[in-house]
Amino acid sequence: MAVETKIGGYICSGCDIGSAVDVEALLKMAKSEGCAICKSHEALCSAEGVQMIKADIAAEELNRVVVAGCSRRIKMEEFSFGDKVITGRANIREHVAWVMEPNDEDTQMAAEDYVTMEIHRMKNTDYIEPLVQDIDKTVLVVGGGVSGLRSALAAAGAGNDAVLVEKENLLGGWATKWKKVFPKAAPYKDLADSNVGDLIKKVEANDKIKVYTGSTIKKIHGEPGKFDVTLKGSSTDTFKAGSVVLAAGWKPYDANKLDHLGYGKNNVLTNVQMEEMLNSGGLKRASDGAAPKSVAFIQCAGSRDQEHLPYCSAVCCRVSLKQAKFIRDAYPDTQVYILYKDLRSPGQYELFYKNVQEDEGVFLTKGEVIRVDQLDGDRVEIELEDTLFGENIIVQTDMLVLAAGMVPNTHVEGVAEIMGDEAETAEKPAEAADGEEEADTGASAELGAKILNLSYRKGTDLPTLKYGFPDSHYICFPYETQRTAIFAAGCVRAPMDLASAENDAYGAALKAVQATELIGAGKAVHPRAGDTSNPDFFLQRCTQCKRCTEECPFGTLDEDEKGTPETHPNRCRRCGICMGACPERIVSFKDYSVHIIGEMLKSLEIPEEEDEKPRVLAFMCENDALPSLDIAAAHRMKINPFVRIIPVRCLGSMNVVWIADALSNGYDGVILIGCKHGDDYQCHFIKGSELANTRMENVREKLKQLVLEEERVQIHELSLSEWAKIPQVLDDFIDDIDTVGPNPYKGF
Amino acid sequence: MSTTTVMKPDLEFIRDLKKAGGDTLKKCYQCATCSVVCNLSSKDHPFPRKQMVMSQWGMKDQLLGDPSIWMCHQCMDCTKNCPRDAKPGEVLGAVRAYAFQHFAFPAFMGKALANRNSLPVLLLIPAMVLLGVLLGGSSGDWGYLFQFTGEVELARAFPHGALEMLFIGGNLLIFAFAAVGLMRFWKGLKAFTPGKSGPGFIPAFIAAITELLTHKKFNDCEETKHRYLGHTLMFWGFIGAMATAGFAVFFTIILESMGSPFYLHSPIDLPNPIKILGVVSGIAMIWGGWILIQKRKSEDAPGVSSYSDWQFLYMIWFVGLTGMLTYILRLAGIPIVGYAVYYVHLVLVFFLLWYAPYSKFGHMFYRTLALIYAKSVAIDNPRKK
Repeated sequence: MAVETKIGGYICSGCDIGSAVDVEALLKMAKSEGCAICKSHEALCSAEGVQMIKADIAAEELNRVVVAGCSRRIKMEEFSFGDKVITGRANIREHVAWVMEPNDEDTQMAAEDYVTMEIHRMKNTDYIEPLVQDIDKTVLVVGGGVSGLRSALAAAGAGNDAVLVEKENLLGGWATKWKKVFPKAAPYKDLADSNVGDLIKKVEANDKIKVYTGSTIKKIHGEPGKFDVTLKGSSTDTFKAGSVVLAAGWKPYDANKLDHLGYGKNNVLTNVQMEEMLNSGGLKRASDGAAPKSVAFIQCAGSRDQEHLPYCSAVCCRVSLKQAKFIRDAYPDTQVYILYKDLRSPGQYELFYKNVQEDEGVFLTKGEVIRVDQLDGDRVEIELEDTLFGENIIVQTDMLVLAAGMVPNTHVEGVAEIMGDEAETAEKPAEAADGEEEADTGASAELGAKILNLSYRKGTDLPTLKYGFPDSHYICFPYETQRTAIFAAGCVRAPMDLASAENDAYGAALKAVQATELIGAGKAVHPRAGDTSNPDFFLQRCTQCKRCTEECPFGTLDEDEKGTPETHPNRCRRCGICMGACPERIVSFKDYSVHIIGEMLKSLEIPEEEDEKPRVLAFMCENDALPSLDIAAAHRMKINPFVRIIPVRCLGSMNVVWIADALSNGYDGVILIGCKHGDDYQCHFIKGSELANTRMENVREKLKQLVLEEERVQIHELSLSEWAKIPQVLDDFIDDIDTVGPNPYKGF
Repeated sequence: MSTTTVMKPDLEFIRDLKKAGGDTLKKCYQCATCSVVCNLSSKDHPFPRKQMVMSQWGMKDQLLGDPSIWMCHQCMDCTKNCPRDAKPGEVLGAVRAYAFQHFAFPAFMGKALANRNSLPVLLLIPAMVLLGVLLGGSSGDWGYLFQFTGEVELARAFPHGALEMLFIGGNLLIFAFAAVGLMRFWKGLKAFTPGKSGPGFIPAFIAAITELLTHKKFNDCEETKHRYLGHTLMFWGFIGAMATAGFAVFFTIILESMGSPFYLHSPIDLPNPIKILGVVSGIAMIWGGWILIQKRKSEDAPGVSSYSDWQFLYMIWFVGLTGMLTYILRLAGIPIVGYAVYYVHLVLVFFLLWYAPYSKFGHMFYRTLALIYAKSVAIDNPRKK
């Protein structure tokens, strides 16, 4: 560190803090821990309090400030004192005053410990120099359907350049094939025309949008803000781009797999084939060229079926209602039967459903299809069970339409299945021989759909979740994928209708625009939006174990031939998973490192065994666990005073050496509290929580070697809505520690 | 379930049902709220959802062959609670109204009763016949009809003998015609609602009649509690009035012709028990009819009544009203008005009786038969309570 740290310590006595802890004692303690100046104030966040700190900074040339008061999640503006001063926040309100017995000995100890830890954090934290860059802010939009068209327009509307790449020779995608679309405006009764023609015209007329048709992407090289894009097909241009919207759309579910629903029999077709027929020659039976007197629709043909598409394709019910309406209007003598599991026509589309249903020639009923047979050579007979009749029913029809579902174009046959197998039989990489296990780090993009052709070490395409959707699927971040600054929009993200696809396009395009802005300023995109820290790799000590490159959920790191990581800061989300992964501990952030956390936990005085005051560390994820505790504190729930909390960026950033340090320093136990992992993960960094669980195996091995009880280190998963459980989780942990007794290494 | 129904939609039937008062039937989205609130519904008989699906799909034969249709007393619990305003209660009423037409023999009578434009012609027939009775019996001396005061001699204007001829003769014919329709109905029940082996016809008949006489099903109606009182009064009032007429014929004509000493001279007057029965019955009919009409008309009535409902209800209420009025006018001694009202009374009585199989009056036959069938094959919808 170029300049010696000079720390100012400020204790807030407002918000009931002053009546719960001895502020004077805290000031004395802060002084003894090395603060150059120590003051208290009854409302530090007030203009007067802030002014006091600012005056001290100027007068005493302070370069670090520790504010002991409320949670670091609030009053961030008030306690920012410019580039030259780093602020640390000791949370003695939510972690102490609000949740512990006022003026108790243990409460005072907790407050002193939090102030001490923060002083030690500040002693070891260095300035961050934001990676401000001159980048290209062009938004690359992949796919020229409604989602892509709207994305390009939205990006251009925000002032960015956009490049639209469409593999077909014409823009418009599926929407150009639809004869009519279901209503888009009140009274939601009648069929409408799609506005795709207008969208195409607007895109073509917009001079901020460059359109390539008949082309696909040969290669995307580099990192966000600096992508080098190369096309193939009609155009082989190369250009720069800053961020990407993937609007690659969908394909119909392969009807050849629906032979159990009659596909392959005479006069059985899919909803897409019906649409194409209505759009070309009109309603005709393949067998005799005549208009059928009856048309039946089987809904959920393949969708909501564990053997086919386990999800609801969202639009098929309305598509069948639309086709029914079209047929009834154009062919009044033709009856339409709609056979459904559940008819889903959400929102205002209920009105459309009602309107179609009123037609006396449209017949709807519920049931599960158990048999589809050819009847008289050219007709079809469908038998349903679980009907509303209390008995099976048979419907006979001249023509059968299978309302088949949507599959994202990122889905590649067999990939999801292979990925499942891989996860189960994954072998430990040779480099991880010391016992750390390799977690499944997402669908291997080598097997991907070859749409983006990223030159990332982790694969050429976006990792997908189990149904083949590239959305990283965390509820707070729609459009987010597992690759930074690449966003998914429209049906490639989730099955949806045209209106939803346009809304989706706005969302994803604006995310893409925002990403270019943040990256240009050297800032992280969500979920640590605005974070300017970056991981530093001390490569001289790298052993090329590749754990960081493998475990980064965002494909940030490439490798040279020897396996040394090559960083790409603009791909990084600053989660610190690489830091948690590195056995050599060569990855660190200026304000968050193995060393800083180690110093913090070592700074505390651990009570002697005979004091009968256990001491445990809780590493809490900043994303859900820490806010949960704040909520619990706001409800004045009681938190065990023997717990000391250290926030972590993600459980995945937790380096196991902290646990070793904690236990060898006499802490009786360590609990990790983070987000849920698994299929329905809530981890904000996709894999962090899962990796932490994997690493716990390794920790348990170590505990065995040290002849320590397994119960001393636990991991707990918590979602924000479970905030009320936090006190119990901590109490239970302390109970477990009481059972196994004090750490035998205490005092060594 | 072993049975399988082939769905063959009949669009014509759907249109007819809509015309008969079921114009909301397509609105149903089969959520089963109706079955949840209906006291006739059970786990194996999700009534009336299944019947709503059958209506929507125009499954005429299945629907007409379903005795459940007649189990419904149109309490309107379903209509009141339907989230789609599909009015299942009205739809079932329309199915029943359609049934009167469908099973009608001769068929044109069914159509005529269902069509409000035919009402004048239908009224004209008994009006002409009774005018004939009046003219035939009076042999030119009509002066007594036009007196403003004096004795009202009803039997002189409309001799009991002639009326009995019309009553008995007409009824025989009508019952024969009705029987044809009811046979068709029974055949449909057997074909489309096969049941288990039940208690046999006679016990089923007794159980059905008991149920009908006590009106206990009406008591299950949540939305229309008043109908228990209204219908009970009307039902027993009508039976009482018919019994009064029967006793009168027996005591004044049959016993006279037999020379029995118990012979009573016409007209029978209070405090003779026969007359008491007549007066009480008349009051019951008027009171019951008033309740039913008022409640059907009130703004918060849970359902809408069809032409078939109103036609029958007003006819039977006017029968009671004119009957009672006739008695009062006879006591008051106002011949000219008394004869006129009595004439109207008789026209309406014969309208009711002669057209019974084709009008809503037919529910008396169809419901009874359906109940007997349902009980005999053990598919009577068990009540929830």
